[in-house]
Amino acid sequence: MLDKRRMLICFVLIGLIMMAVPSLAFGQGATTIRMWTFLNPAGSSGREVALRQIIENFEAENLGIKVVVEPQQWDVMTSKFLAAHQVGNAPDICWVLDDDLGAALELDALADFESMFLSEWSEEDIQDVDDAFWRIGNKDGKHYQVTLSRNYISIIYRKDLLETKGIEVPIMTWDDLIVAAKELTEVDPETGIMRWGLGQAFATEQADPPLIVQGILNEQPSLFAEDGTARWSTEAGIRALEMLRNMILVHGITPESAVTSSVEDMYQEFSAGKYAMIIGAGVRVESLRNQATFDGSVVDMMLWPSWDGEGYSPGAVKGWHVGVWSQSNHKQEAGKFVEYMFNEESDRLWVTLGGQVPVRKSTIAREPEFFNDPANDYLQTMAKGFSDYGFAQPWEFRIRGWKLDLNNAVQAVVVDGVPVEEALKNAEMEFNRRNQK
Amino acid sequence: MARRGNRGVLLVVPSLILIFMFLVFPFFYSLYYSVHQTYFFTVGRFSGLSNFIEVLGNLENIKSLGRTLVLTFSSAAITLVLGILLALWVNKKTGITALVIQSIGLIPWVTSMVVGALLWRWIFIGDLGLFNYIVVLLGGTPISLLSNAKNAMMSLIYVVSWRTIGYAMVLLLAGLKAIPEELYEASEIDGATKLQSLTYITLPLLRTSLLVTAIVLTLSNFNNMTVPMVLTGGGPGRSTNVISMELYRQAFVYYDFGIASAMSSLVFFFNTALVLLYVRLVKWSV
Repeated sequence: MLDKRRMLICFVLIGLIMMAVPSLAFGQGATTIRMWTFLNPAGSSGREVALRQIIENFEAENLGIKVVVEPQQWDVMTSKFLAAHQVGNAPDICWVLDDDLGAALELDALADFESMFLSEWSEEDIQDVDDAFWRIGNKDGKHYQVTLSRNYISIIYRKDLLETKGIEVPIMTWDDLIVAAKELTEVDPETGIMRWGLGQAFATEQADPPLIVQGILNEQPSLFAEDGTARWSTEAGIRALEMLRNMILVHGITPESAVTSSVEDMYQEFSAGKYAMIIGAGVRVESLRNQATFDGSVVDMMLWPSWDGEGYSPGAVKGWHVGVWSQSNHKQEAGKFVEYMFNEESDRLWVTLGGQVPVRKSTIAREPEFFNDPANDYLQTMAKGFSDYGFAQPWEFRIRGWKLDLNNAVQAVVVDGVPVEEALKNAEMEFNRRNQK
Repeated sequence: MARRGNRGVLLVVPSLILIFMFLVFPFFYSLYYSVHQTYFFTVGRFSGLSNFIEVLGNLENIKSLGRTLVLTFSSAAITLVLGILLALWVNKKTGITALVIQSIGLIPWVTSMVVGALLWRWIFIGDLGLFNYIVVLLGGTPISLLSNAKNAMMSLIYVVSWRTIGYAMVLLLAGLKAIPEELYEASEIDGATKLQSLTYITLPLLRTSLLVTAIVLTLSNFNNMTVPMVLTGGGPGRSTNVISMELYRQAFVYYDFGIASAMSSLVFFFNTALVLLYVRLVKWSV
């Protein structure tokens, strides 16, 4: 009896050891990195295809590391990341929204690249990536992010419709834009649906910078004062919001439904043929071309007009700041993958498959055919916007929700008839209160 | 006897643990947040009642509460009236007919709130929606349902009511089935009209069911965030920005948990007051 009991115990122990050994072996060999992004590697858009290829390439070259992407909704992803950072279960890598980069740095949520890979880079490598984007978020001489999916918000338009009406591109003044949009606002003879000259979106969910930002920046250097408080109820702001209100209520070039439309609604409606022009993001041009119910090759991008037609108004320069979680248990592996995501080959993939502006200066020299292709002119427009007509929102202080506040001001004016200056003042107060200014 | 009691306690303990974990503990943790300054999940200095004062002192929050009460009681009233009418009609039917009508009536209730609200959003949406397509087909001019402040609130009331009519019908039907048939027979013999039967027999005996349904509908409508979020997003402007949406925004868009916790505490106390009021009314009438 005792022998049988001993034998049973031995078998159980052997079984447990046999179960434990393989998992120990795998545990030592394989590291899984979790990444949060709005891109889904299983998706079909250019950026998603590029990401999938980059991950496959990385895993093939780094057999012990597996990258698991957990796609998130873009407008709340960073907030979730910061909350997860606080409770200690954030992903290893996160694509941080520019609105929240300041908060991420303030909360020490991101690890510096110097501790992971950057200290081994040559001066030549650093020069290849060094630009205004690279310097965003630098603290004490250290780098905490790389900006991928660099974006420029401007006017996306349909070449075919503008050519039909004899409208020359680029449109240089705000008045010319309104005149052009009026000519383009009509019932589409082919589809029978009402087509509007200029699509905009003012919902407070999934908000992009509204058009008044350009009107303000055309006349003042920043939307924020040096202490981070909002500067919107200025003469420039009042003039810009009055123009925007008139676009909807007087000129009828933007439908009233824009007050409840999110940017995602607007993109879908543009693809469906509802708008001739929209306020849109350059990174979306490729996907709009693919989704269009019309010939997608006619989708292009132009810079912003200005009040006097001398040059262009600055546009919002945006991007996704990819960083490594400061408390990650796999910091070195995560850093390795972040570094991989903007090496020469990956940068080429982001450009050629994803239709994105390159991170590296050398990519432009390596892909001359791609950049000289007229179909990719919008990338040149974006590059010009970045270099000469860009407004990069500040990261040194909290600016959370500024786009929502400006959209609220637009809604108050258009829906509730609130005077323009009062609406902008209320938006400033709400912004300053929430960001504790 | 003591062993049976111990066994009973043991059987209840798992549920109590879950209730404590997901209701009681979060409630008190939320109260803790509500009396502190917070930044994301970082708890700062103790701030006393300043978050509550900020919530109550913000005119927009008071207006949100007003809109919420309009939505809540309008939808509840419409649902109760239509629910009673449907229940009375179904009560006369039997067999398959009754089953089919009840099933159709329950479809909005069993449909996911998000799906239902999205469906109506695409029907109501300005120039591409089915509603205006039919209006134009009938020779009318398109109506702005979601981009006009008044119409947006009415659309919201409609969708919230649409969702709950079937549920009210079923609850009230159960109450109707409990009324003894002999009372109607006796009233018929005494020469009472149908209206008199309804007024003096049906409605009084249905009071408890009506009150219970009213409690459930009021609480459901008051705390409903999904339909306003999907249908109107709180807009246009802030015309449909109900208190639950404002709470969501403070917590999960701005991540200001101090303010959001203060707001949720106030909403909790308001809900509690509503329930107590209804319970008192039920006790008075029984």
